[in-house]
Amino acid sequence: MSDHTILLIEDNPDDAELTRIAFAEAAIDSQLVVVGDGAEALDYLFAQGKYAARDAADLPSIVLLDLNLPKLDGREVLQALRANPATRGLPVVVLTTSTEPFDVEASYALGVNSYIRKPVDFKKFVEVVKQIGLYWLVLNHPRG
Amino acid sequence: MSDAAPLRNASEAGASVDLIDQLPNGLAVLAADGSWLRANVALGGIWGVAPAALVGHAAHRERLPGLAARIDAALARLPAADETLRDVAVPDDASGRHLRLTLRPLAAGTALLQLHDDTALKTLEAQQETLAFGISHELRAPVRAIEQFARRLLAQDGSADPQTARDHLQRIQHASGHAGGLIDALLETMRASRPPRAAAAVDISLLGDWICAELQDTDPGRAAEIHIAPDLWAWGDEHALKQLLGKLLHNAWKFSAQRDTVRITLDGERVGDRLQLRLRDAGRGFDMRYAERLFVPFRRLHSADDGAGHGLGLAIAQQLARAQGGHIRVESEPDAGTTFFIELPAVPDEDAAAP
Repeated sequence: MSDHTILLIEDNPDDAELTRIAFAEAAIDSQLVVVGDGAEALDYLFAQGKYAARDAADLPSIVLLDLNLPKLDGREVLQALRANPATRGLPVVVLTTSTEPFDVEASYALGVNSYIRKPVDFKKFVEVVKQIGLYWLVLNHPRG
Repeated sequence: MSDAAPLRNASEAGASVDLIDQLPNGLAVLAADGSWLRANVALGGIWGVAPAALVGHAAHRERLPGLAARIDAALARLPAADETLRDVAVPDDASGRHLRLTLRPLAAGTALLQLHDDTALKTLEAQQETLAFGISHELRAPVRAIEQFARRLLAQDGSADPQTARDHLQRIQHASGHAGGLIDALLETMRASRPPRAAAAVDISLLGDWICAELQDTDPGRAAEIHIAPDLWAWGDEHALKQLLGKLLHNAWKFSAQRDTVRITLDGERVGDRLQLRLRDAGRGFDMRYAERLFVPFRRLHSADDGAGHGLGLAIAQQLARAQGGHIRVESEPDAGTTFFIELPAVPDEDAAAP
């Protein structure tokens, strides 16, 4: 198993399962960690609350973020990540269900690196990963 | 006014019918020192008082505290028109109404204050947004799940292992049920803001007993201790109030799921012309940081694996309460329980003896 992690922040278990299947079928090497709401996502990333035992320096290679989440929504999660020096540079890809202009513009304004439509298509995911320059990291190609 | 004796001639009409009382917007004439010289029927109606009760003092300092300083500043500069207020939103009051105020100079050093009630329009706009989001985002999720899992099953053409096939079929069934429930809730949202059709004395205690009996019927294995105080009477539409209580009791029941026993208490008292109800559960509770979003459509506090429904129940309950002239607020403590405070109109005095 790769030591790279992809964090999926998604409250819909069907969408989480479809993402898991897409990545499994593509034999993606990274470990997929799924958290179900915005507050838990911040606990995971900042190694606090029920994730207090986690090493806070061990950040995922990439975060896949649904915008509509219980407790804290995706925008609030983004604001918290961008406000913290440790997570400011973390690549975040927003999962969207629509191409409504508001979603896209508001997300880029909050420092989103890219976005993909649900259900997550592995091919699209790879394109996005290339586009933000993380191909080798996520797919665990030799670092040469 | 409509009950007045028929008018005999036009000049009598001019003398006896007060035109400003015929207008739908709230209107008042203010003197430069702030005292109110006159207020119309519509304005009294907005605050539920007789227009005469607003006259003879600076009623805006009590009724419009958020704008009183600006109103006084504009009055102090009369008759100059540059300091007047135009279409200024009145800061939110507890009733959740949307009021808009305009103040402009009138003759002889007085000013005309106009208050528009935009609540109906704002409620419709919010409802439209809820419907658009519900359809474009919330309904799309189960449709996507059905489409994707069915496609996978078909692609495997019978070769899928039985466990995976069963998992996919269960997801399809669950998503269909969720979509159906969501459609019902969206329809309820469209109807929840209707004003009461025929307000009457409603026995809240009886409705509470009835709904709790229904909840126990659908979940017969659960131990439950339910205390509903007798003689709680509200004034409103019985159907809407049953729906409102149903949402809150269903919520209390659902979030008591991890307890050995469901404990629910409904009591309250009449305070003036209001009925103040308390609905307490001993369920899981929630962090008060999230209290604001509790009544906002689709702003869930729990994920789908964790008791979340379609995300509209409490938003509909709040809409119903407001349409009945009341409102709901909430206090909660994680792992201790939640209390909903429901304020509703009480039975008017002349009807109080009837039940």
